[in-house]
Amino acid sequence: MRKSPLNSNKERILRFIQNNPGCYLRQIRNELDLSMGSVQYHSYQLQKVGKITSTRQGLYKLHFQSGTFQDHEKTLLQVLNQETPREIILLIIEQGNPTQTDVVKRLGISAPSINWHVRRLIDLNLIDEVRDGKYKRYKLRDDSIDSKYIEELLKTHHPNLWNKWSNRLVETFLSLSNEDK
Amino acid sequence: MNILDIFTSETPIIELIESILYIVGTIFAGILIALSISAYRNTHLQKLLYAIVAFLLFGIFLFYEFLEHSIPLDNAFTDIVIPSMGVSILVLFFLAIVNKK
Repeated sequence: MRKSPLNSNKERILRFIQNNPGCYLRQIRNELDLSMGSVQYHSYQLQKVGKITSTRQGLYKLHFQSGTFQDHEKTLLQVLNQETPREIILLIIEQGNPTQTDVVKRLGISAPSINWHVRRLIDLNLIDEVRDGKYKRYKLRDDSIDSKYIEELLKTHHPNLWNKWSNRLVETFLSLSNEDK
Repeated sequence: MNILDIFTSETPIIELIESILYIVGTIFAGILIALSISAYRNTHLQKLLYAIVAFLLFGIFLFYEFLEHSIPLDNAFTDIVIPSMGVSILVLFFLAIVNKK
């Protein structure tokens, strides 16, 4: 039996969400070359039958396949969409256990700003801070965050211009106030 | 009329440029408000709340200046409110910088 184009579009959208966890509507529309109305309709239908879930991040609604993504992974995806936390995680994957100085040097932003982002990543249970003599070192919280898995996510998740600007606004305020908690 | 006269007298061109600058300023204030709200929603950094209010006041201030330019709004009340908005904006930025949270 031939599938109707309506069902086929729904399946294409579901498959796209499975392959690109955390994608947003405009991304689906652009990649699948569908109208926004069609993408909205099918994603709503898929959510209604429980095949996908969504979570809001800023101006974007991120879509995930139901049951596949736990809260921890959703948090990780949200962090990867922000410039500085994303670069900190990338550096930890690349260097293993970088010190605070390594992070400051690599990212080229102020130490108070780095401190604030690191604190946030620790609070989100994504990384740990380890004392090594007089240095503070950072590592991924546990083995549940697989670096290869993050690399896969990074291919499809990168901060958009608006997120970059809002991130820089945060850094400007943190640098000005020299916050060092 | 020489070029100096254009910049020292109230000509239609100067008034037009003034209005355009107020509108552009208001639009920029709007973008900065949206950016601060987005940054606050992503990070929950409390000092951004000061920035949101400051940019909002700045937007209102510029929009009021634009309106005042187009329709007569001058009265004793606004003579106090408008300068105090300027002071409030500076105080809010100061608080955003010194606040530890």
